[in-house]
Amino acid sequence: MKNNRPKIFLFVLLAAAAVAAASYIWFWNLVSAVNKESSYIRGDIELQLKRNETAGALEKLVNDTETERRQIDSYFVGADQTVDFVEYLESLARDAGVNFKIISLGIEQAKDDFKDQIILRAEAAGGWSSLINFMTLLENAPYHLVLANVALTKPEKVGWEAMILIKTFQLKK
Amino acid sequence: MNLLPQKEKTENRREYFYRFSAGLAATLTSSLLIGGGLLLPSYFLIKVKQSELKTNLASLKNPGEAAGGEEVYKILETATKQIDFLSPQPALFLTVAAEKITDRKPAGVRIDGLSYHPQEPTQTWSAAIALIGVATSREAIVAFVKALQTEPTFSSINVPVSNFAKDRDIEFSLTLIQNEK
Repeated sequence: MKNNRPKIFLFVLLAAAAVAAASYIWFWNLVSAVNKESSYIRGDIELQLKRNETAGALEKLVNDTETERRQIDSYFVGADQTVDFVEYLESLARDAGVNFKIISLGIEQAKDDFKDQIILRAEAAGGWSSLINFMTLLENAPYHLVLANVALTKPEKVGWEAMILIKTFQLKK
Repeated sequence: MNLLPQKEKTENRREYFYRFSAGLAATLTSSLLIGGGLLLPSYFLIKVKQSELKTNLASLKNPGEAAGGEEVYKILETATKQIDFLSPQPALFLTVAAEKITDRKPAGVRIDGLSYHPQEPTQTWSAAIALIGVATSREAIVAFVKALQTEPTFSSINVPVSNFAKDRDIEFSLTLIQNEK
């Protein structure tokens, strides 16, 4: 009688080897994937640490430059300080001894996201020296103020008149 | 000398091959099982480390800090824009121009009007100043223009020819452009 046991045994072992090989490959890939994912997370952590470091440095910069930034902001009319600004101009006119009258006041949306433009048309009347003093005060006002158009004329009567177009900038709310 | 019959010889060879192959398969299987078993501790270790790393990453990505970071960027960006906006040199001041003009005004010239118009800046501001007035004679206008031409603040002075049409009590106009250099 023919002995088939070695043959069966071989096939069983070959099947077992195939299953073991497949399982090993699957497990190896699983370990590799987990390892790769860990290395990505490690990279993310390093990146995040650098980001946090940069954010910390920027935050320090923001804190260190607070005074300077306030100074820069002060060159703009505050978001709700239009009235204060107008009253400031009127006080300059009083100081210079000129009659100052606002003809129109408007706010124009600027293209950028931090400021709007205040456009103020006014007329002033007084002596030459008073008007020039007033202009000097305007030019040296603690705002970024542009005398966009000024027409000084001497009418028939005594004194001078000035038509003034002032542009200044207001921080957005 | 092998005295076995040929059939038995073949049978024996086949059986040898089967046994040999079974041995190889058994070795391979056991190697793979041992290898897999040895990989298990590494796998568990990596899983534990990965879990720790995920926790670390989550703590680093604090959403509150991220929002604060954006705020910081916005503050600095706005400050940079403000500085860029404020940086261009201002145009010649009206009062400075008026002083330079009146200082050079000769006798016989009266200024009745002055308009000042700064141009929007490209890199720097510049200003145009228009003057109107009355001069007693053509010579007075020429002297005034010559005096203004010596002033380096102005790059050009536009003198309309019509200024010289009359010879007395001439109503004149001049346009001065700020020297940007």
